[in-house]
Amino acid sequence: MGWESIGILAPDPALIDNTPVLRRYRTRGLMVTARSAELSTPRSLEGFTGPLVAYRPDAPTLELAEAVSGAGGIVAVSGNNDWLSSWITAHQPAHLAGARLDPARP
Amino acid sequence: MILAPRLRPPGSPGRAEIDSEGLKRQTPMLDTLQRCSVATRDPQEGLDALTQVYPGLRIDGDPEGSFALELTSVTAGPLRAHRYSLRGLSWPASADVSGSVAISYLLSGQVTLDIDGASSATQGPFLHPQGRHSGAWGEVEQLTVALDLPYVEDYARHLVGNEDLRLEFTGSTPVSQAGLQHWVGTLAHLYREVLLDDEAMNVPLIRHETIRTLTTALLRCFPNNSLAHPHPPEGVSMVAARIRRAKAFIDAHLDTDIGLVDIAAAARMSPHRMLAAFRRELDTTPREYLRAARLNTARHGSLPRFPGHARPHALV
Repeated sequence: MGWESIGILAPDPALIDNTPVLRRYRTRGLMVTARSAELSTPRSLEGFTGPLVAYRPDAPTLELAEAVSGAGGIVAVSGNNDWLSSWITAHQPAHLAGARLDPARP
Repeated sequence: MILAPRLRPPGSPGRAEIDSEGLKRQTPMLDTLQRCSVATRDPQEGLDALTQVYPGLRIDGDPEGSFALELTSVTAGPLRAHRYSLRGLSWPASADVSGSVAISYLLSGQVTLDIDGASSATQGPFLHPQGRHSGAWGEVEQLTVALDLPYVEDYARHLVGNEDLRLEFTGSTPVSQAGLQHWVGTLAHLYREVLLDDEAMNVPLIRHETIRTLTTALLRCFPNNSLAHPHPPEGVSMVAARIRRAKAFIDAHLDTDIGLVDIAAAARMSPHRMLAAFRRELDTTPREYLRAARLNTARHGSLPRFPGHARPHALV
C-alpha cells in the first residue's frame, strides 16, 4: 500500500494552501483534497478505497467523508468541537490522540 | 591534612549534565565561576577556611606549632580545582568524597592514605577513595581537581555509547606511566593556562571544553570500568540511541496524547536538542514523525473495527 492510498479531506481549499504539512503530504503522493461547496464527492475520491483522513473537519466535511463509500476507514483529525460528539456517538471512533471526546448523551 | 572536598550532592542545583554530543544539557551552575583565596598564619582561621571549602573535612586534633596556609580554589560547574600549601602541621583527618571524583597531585610533601585498613604513602597523582576515608598529611603542597560524579558518569556514558553504564573507579593510581604523564601534563596546562585565567574562564566555550578535557583525561588515565567498554565506531554517537528511544516511544504511544516534551523526556534529551537531532538525523521533526506514524497506522489499515460498523473510525 503506497502513500497515494491515503486520502485527506479538508473543509476548505484554503486550509490546504495554508497548512504546510498538507502540502508536503500532497507532494509525497497522498490524495489531499477539499470538499466542494456542493457537498458532492470530489472526483479524486471517487472509487477511493484507502483510509480517509478528515482534517479539521466541519460537520459537512465529515458527512462527505462518510459518503465516500469505498473508504476503508475514516480518521478525524480535529480539535475539541462539540459538534463532533454526534459523529462519535454514531461511529465510536478509536481514540488515537488528543482530548478524549465522549459520545453525546441520549 | 586536606582530603578532597565533598562537592554539591548529586541532583542539587548546579549539577551539570552532558547531552549526546557531550555538550552541557542542564547546567545552570556551569556558567558560574567562583574563586576563593586564603592566606593565613592563624591556625583557627586556616581550619575555618578549609572546612568551608571542604565541607566533608574532619580534623582530629588541634593545630600546634608554626602554621601557614595558602589556598586558592576555583569552582566552575561540576569542577573544583584547588591548590594549597600547608606547613607547620601534621594531622590525621578524614573526609567524605561521595558524589565527586577527586584527584590530588602532590607537588611536595607526602600523604598517607588509609584504605581498607591499610596505610600507604602516596606520591604523584592519586584518586581519592569513594566515601569517607582518612589519612595523614604533613607539610605539603598539593593540587586537587574534583568533578561531580554524576557529570563524570554521564560523560563516560557518552564516551562509550552506553547509557546504562554505572561508572566505578577500580584503583587510585594511573593505569600506566603514559596515563600518568598525560594526566599531569593535561592538568598542569589547564591549571596554569586556563583555570587561573579569569579572561579565559569567563568564555563559556573555553570553560566547558576545559571541564570536558579534564574529564576525558580522568577517564582515560585512572582505572575505571568504562575503559573495558569498546568505544562506539566513529560517527556513531548517543544521538542515534536517543533517537531510537524517541521513535520507540512514539510508536508505543500512537494512541496517547503525547507531545515534544514527552518524547524528549523519553529520549533523555531536552526538547530543543531532540528537535535538532531529529532534523539533523532524520530530516524531520518529532511531531512530523508522530503524525506520519499515526498516518502509517491508518495506511496499513490497522485501525480497530467495531461490531456493527462497516469500517473503522478513528479520532485524532
